[in-house]
Amino acid sequence: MEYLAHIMAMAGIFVILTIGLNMIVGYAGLPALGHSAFFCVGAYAAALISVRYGLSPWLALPIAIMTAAVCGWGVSLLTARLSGDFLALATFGLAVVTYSSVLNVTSITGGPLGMSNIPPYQLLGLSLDTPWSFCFLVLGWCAAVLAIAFAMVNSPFGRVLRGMRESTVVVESLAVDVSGFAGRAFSFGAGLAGLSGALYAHYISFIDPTTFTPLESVTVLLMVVFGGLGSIPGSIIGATTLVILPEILRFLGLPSSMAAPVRQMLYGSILVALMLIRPSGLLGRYKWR
Amino acid sequence: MSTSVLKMHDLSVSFDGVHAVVDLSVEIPRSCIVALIGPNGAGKTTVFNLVCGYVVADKGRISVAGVEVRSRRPEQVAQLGLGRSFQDCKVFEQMSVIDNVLLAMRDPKAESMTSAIFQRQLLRKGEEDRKRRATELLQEAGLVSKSSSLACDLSYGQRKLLELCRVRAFEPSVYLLDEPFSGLFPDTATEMTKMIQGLRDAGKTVVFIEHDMQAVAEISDRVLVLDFGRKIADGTPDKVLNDQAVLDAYLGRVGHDAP
Repeated sequence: MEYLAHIMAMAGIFVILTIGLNMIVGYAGLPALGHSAFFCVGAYAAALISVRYGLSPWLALPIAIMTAAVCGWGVSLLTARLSGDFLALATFGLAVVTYSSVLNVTSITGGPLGMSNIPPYQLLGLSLDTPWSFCFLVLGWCAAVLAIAFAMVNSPFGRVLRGMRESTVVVESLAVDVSGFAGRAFSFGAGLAGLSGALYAHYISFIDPTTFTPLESVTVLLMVVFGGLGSIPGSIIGATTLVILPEILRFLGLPSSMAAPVRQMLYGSILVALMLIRPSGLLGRYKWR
Repeated sequence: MSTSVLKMHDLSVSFDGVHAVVDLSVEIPRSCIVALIGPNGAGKTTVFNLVCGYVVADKGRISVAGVEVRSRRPEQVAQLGLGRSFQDCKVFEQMSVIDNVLLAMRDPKAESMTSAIFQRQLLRKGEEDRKRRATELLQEAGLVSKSSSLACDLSYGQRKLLELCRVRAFEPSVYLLDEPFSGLFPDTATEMTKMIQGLRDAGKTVVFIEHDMQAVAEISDRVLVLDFGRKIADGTPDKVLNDQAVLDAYLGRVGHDAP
């Protein structure tokens, strides 16, 4: 049963991550391919604060969110003049830079050895280090994130983002500061990635760069596209399905050396099938473009 | 003191050596309907793009409500009270008809992320007011029954009307409408005519590009004619539409292309 709780906790972390990316890609229509960078920033910020400086994980959490959100804002400023494929490539490049940085700045991040002994969250004297206790914590965060995300997308703010997705030229003619709204979408999405990263780091208690490879951005993007661009329920389904699906491979008795490549093949095949059968994703309103 | 809301002085722009607009000087006063006509490629839409900030002029000055806008970004120009529609009828296709209109009713406070999360009650009140106003606009355009339909499901004529509703919802003082009558059925064209005349009656200024000379003669107070980026005529519809230079530009100059 603990295995089930672990899967649910991981699904919850990815649901938050996916909702964040959906806000950027699905709602604002900014094809960003570097979400793993914000996930990484959140995880390392939380780990550094609680391991190196001995601060409470609860204090590390908002700092991790803020750090990732500020990075998101920075990325939007840096890429303000880019759109479409150019934006996708630039953000992917930034994910590569982030990955290389955590891999090589060993004095801070521990490099390939990663960071271990990251303390778990404590609540009312209880340590949330078991899969079940942590699962409930993540589900609580998921509920809060869902409430906020629904409020955002159904507000005038969400309406402007959807308008931007359709045509930046037209929203500009309505006095919308496109780069300002892109910045807000990026910082919100990155902030959620920071939250996911912090939760992940304090749950697994060990992080290293292999979790945050640039290809992880593609996996999160696949979760968004699979569930549906511009759909919050789609993000829940996309993340949950694609976290659970590779777990089935465990029961096929594949050797560990094959598990990872087969997982990637599975993801790739799903993407191809999706583009052919239902390009807008399961619950999405927009096609990938 | 000048009552012009839109001024262009000595405005020129060229693209890769092609002179799209050449030394254009125009002053447009409040509360009037001005038609901007000319053959295809005369530079009419380029003039709109220059005024709105989508294209930066090589030289000259443009002012909207007395403010110089030549180097301003489109959203900054729009903030001065300039609204426009587009030649290829741009609506937000995957948004509902009413959302298309609501998006134009800008309210920076309501559009903040914190309002969306923490000020739900306040937001609801403002949203109800905006929806009421949007419904009124759609009612006037005969689109109220389509409020919750996606804009992509509208006919071309309905999209044109929706686009004008969106610009009206933005409440600009100057309207730049790019071919509002093109492709419209006669009854939809009548709706459009009424809406444009209503704008002038409400004290707004409308500049519109059009090829339908009947519509131009019917609703405009003044007609400007461009040919190869240059202004070749400017005056009342009666005078301009019978001007020999204008007829030449539209029908081709006799002997001009003769070998």
